[in-house]
Amino acid sequence: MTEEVLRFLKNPQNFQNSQRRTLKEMKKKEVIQSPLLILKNVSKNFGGIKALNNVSFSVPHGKIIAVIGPNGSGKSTLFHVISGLYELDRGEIYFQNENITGLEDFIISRKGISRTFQEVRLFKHLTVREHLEIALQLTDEKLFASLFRAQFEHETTIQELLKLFKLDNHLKNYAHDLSYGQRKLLDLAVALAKPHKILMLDEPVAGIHHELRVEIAGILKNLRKRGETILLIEHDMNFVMNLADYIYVLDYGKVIASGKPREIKNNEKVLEAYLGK
Amino acid sequence: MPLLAQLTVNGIIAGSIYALVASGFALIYGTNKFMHFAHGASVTFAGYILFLLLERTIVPFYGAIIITIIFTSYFGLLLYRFVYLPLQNRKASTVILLVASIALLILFENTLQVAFGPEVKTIPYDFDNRTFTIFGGTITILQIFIFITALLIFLFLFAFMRYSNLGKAMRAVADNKELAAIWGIDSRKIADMSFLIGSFLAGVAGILIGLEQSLVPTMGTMLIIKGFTGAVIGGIAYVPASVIGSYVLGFAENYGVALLPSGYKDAIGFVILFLFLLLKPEGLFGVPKGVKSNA
Amino acid sequence: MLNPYFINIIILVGIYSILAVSLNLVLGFTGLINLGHVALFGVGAYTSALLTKAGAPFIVGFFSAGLTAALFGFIIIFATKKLKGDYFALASLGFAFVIGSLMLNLQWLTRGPLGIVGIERPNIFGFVLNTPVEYLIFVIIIASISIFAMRRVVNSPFGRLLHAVRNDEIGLRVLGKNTFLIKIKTMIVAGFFAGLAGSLFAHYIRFIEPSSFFLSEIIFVLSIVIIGGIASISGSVVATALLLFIPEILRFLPLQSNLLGAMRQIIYSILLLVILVFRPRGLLGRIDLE
Repeated sequence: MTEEVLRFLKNPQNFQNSQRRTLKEMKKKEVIQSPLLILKNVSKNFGGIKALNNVSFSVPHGKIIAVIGPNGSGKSTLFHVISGLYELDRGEIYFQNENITGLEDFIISRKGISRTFQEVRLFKHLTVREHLEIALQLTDEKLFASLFRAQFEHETTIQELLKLFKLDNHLKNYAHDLSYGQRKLLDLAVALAKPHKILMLDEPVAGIHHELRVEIAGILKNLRKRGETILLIEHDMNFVMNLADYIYVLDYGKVIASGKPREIKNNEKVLEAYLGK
Repeated sequence: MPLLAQLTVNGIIAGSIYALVASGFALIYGTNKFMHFAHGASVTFAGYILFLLLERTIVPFYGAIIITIIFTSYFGLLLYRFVYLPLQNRKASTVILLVASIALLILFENTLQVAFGPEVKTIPYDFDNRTFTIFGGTITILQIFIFITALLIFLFLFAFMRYSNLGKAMRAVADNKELAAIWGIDSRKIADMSFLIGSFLAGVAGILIGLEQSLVPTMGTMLIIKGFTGAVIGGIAYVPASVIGSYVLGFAENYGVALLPSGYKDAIGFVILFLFLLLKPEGLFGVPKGVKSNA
Repeated sequence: MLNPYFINIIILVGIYSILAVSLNLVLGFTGLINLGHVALFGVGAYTSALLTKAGAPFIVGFFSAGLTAALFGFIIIFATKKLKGDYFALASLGFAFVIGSLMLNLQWLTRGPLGIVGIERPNIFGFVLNTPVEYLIFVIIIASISIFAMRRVVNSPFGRLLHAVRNDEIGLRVLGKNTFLIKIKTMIVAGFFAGLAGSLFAHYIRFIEPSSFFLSEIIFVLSIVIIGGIASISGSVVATALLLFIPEILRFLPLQSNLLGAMRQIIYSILLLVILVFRPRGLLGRIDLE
């Protein structure tokens, strides 16, 4: 499986123009770039509850950063705030040195943020192929132009992506009809297909059996090798420890610890948070 | 000055009529979280049952009232059991229930038209015709009665939803059905009760409105639109507020036609409805939903 | 076969099928429960009637009807941007009531409840469509073009986005698509064709008044779309024919003529309820209404 991944990833044809450029730029740069994503003192309240309390962190290029923490610690809220689904109450968010605080969700997405959700969000009445077409097609919103285009244009890219995720026999199936594991994979494929500079994955292996977890971990590792930046939320400690370059731990909306996996494993505060005080 | 007084009195009467309709509608929405537009059909149904009993049978007036109210209460319950409940069991969205309720409204109004004919009918009962003059505005005994009934309903609903066990149970079910179930509240029974009580109120409304105005098969449509508007103005999730909203509507319409040609009376209501839905859908007394979206 | 009674119904099928497909585009495909869609039909009818009565050529009236209705469609979506689900449905219904009120009360313009009489048959570059057969051919041509155009939209890459908006609007936004703009574009297209249908209606019946566009019409068109099947264009066309032909059976029953209207409404509402409760995907739909 990893061989196919490598082969696929080695071929720059498989990526959108913007990504091709980004990868080339990344290969050139030896210099330390400023982080891709920066959060400064971000707070979000729901009524009296502080879902996010003065959260600051940064995501450097080309690394896998994990956000962990007990249930309700604000991890998904963090993602919603970054992707523009929730308005934050205080603080700022910078993406590629641009202040994206308060921008609309679809505009933030267009700036290069691609994300998945904890609950798989796919379109019930669209086929696997249609999902990828939507993700890849940048001009389908133009009604008039759309009338004169073919419905399906990105044959090769789609075929490669699907082969990667072993979904190539399911081109014409409705997302609806796939198994849970396949839907998770499609979710990931769609996020990957959409032009992006960062992948934000919310529990990409929740409810997935062990073998598939290993495969997905492998895919993510290779994406990193190709210069992709990944921010992920996960509960599975092993998955995170073996994969992440750096970890942030949230509890009650606050960052209570951060560091390399080894440091986090032995951190008392983290254990306390998970086991209860 | 007498004009202002008369307009005020008219506003009170109109507000009271709308409140009679709005209260039952709001109670049902408040418990079940969907719009039961066919409530208007319940009101019309009540009016025609009373007419039928008084015109064709020898049942005395007060007996007819009781029978009408009982029939109307169960009419509403049957609508729930035979149409809404099956749809809910198939996880129909509130929009589907709304569409179904409009279909039911149209169905029953037209059935009444076929059964009774489209001509206007009056209920054959002589209410005391005396009038009173307050600050220059004239009001009949029946109209005063309607006003008092509306106030009593308001007080009843307020106390009921706040203090009674059934009222609290209804609010619990409205808030969170699953949680309420864990506490042992049978949401099916609560829903049944909400339709019974709500349609009971429709029965009261149909009787009073039928006596005050005449009966037309399509009267329910306008009444439910006005009642619904009143509920939206007050705050559709907060049941007693629907009464207050109805009075706001009644006054707006009647003061409004002092300034505009009288044909615009209904238009005033529609515009207010539209504006509230756009700008303040939670109503005067409701709580706006704060979160930007539901991710 | 060519008897005028039959032709009359087919003309109405042609006109209403354009309206039904346009509503399906908005409601069935995009998921916008626009209960007030009939208002656009009415706006088109009045626009065309008023312009031609004022002396404008039919073609001008016809296309203006489409454009005006499209404009009103835009206004509905724009105004209700922040409303979800049933609040949008009710606001659109409220909008239709407001439009109906305006039709009734702006008497200097619309003659209020008296309506507009004596609307002329279309005069297209000198050729007047006088006979029913001529009108029938005209309607069939317009209907075919309109429905074909809407079908083209639905089967294009843009059309995919409509299903996505209906299924999960936020999921689509997060993929970088401006769903608000998508809804606006859809509504403009649907409104345009609804307006054209209104013009065809006005110039056929030659008399329009506000109650032709009120609650009962709303239910009629809504029933067609739901009974035919959400997101099924052929379903809408078939259902239009069904709902217009079935009540004709009533003519053979010994009923008073003033009850015919009420009987039709009863038939529509029963059919609608039956479909809602027993077969939510409608006759030809592949998608369940939810």
